[in-house]
Amino acid sequence: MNRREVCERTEHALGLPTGTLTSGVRLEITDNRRAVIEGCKRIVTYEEDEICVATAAGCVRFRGRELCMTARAGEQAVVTGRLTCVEYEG
Amino acid sequence: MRGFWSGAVEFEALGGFPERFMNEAEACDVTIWNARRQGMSLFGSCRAVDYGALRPAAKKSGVRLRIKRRLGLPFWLRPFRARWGMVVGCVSALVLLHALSSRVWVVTVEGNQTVTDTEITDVLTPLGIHLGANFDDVDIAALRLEALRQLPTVGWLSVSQSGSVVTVKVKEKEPSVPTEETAPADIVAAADGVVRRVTVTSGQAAVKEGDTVAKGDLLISGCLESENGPMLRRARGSVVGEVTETVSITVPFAEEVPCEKQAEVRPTVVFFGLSVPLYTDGETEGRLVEERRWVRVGGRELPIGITLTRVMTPNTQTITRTADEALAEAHRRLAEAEKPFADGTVESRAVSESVTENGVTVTGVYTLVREIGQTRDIF
Repeated sequence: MNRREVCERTEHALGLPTGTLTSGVRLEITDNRRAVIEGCKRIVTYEEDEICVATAAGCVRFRGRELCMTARAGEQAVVTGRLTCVEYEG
Repeated sequence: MRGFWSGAVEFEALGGFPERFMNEAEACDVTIWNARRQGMSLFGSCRAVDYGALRPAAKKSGVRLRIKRRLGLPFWLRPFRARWGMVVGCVSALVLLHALSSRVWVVTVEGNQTVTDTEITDVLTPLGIHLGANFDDVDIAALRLEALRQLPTVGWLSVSQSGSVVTVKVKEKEPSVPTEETAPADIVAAADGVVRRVTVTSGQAAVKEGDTVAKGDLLISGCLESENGPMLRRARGSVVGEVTETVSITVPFAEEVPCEKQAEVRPTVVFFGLSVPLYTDGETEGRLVEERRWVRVGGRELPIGITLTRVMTPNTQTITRTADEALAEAHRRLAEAEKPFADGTVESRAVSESVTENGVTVTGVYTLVREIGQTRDIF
């Protein structure tokens, strides 16, 4: 059992929200205009209609139009535009 | 706006691998915002000081960086580098304006009739209403009570503020009507003369028209005879008599007149409550006369001006006159001395002049018809 699994089991046993003890990825989407990602490791793809970011749990791919990464600081990134699709890979 | 104070740069990263460029920038602790992809280019913004740190990231990712726009205060001020004095002046003016606008700079007094503005402001100064004071620090209710206590003739007082102007409105007390005197009294002659007319309101007349009286003689008695014995009253009435007055004025040809000489002037520049003396401090003897010359705008005094303190010392001045000048001066002084006769009627006036080796003497003899009675308490 690795460290991540221990943390996940502890969270489950104590009834804590997921990500409290683990460095999980959090994704908060407002309408189809804005997405805030916490746990962003690096940018994999950056196009007008597609932005893909790598996280500890795999890649998160945003598809849409006029996509723009309005802010990025540390492991946090904000993607705005007209989101049409969010995919998880890995 | 993000990066306004420190300055920001809008750049274009052309070609190469934009994703790697952003990752490398993140690794260099450079924050990029508003990043958007347009064709082969990546547009974004970063702080102006971080732009140089993007070059290694650009080199690694094979992109070419180009500045599109410079934003923020440092770039806005850059054209004024050669005119730094103007910028400093503007900033200083804003700071001064902000600092001074919350202070009291003009104090106006309204509604006073007998009490002067200076008397009122002198009372208010130690209570907190003065040039440069912070109005918010003043306890208005306590100030009103204390000011009314120190100004006994003022019945009501209010203090209001409008910007830097403090207006003090006062209403003075109505003068009290003197109570009528009721103590028993006689009316006696104030001067030698001949009685012309007697009018008795209260009391018993002791003289009649044509009687000759000396100073101090009883004219109207306050003691009345009755069936129950004498009754004491306060005599009231009027006794008009003919009196003779003599006025003699001598004006020497050479006269030493006491006067004051200005020994020193001490100017002080006053600027918003700050007094800057323009003289050396030293001992002075004499009377100090203060003259204030303030800048006035729209009929209102501003707290900017000069105070001139004149040191006046006693002195004498020798006046030398010709005979004609002495005579003219004697007649002028005689006319001055005749002014008290205005309360009666001058029936005759005889003026004689005499010239000696020292000066001129003018003598006036007057026959006056006027009130000669004066009240004298019995007890």
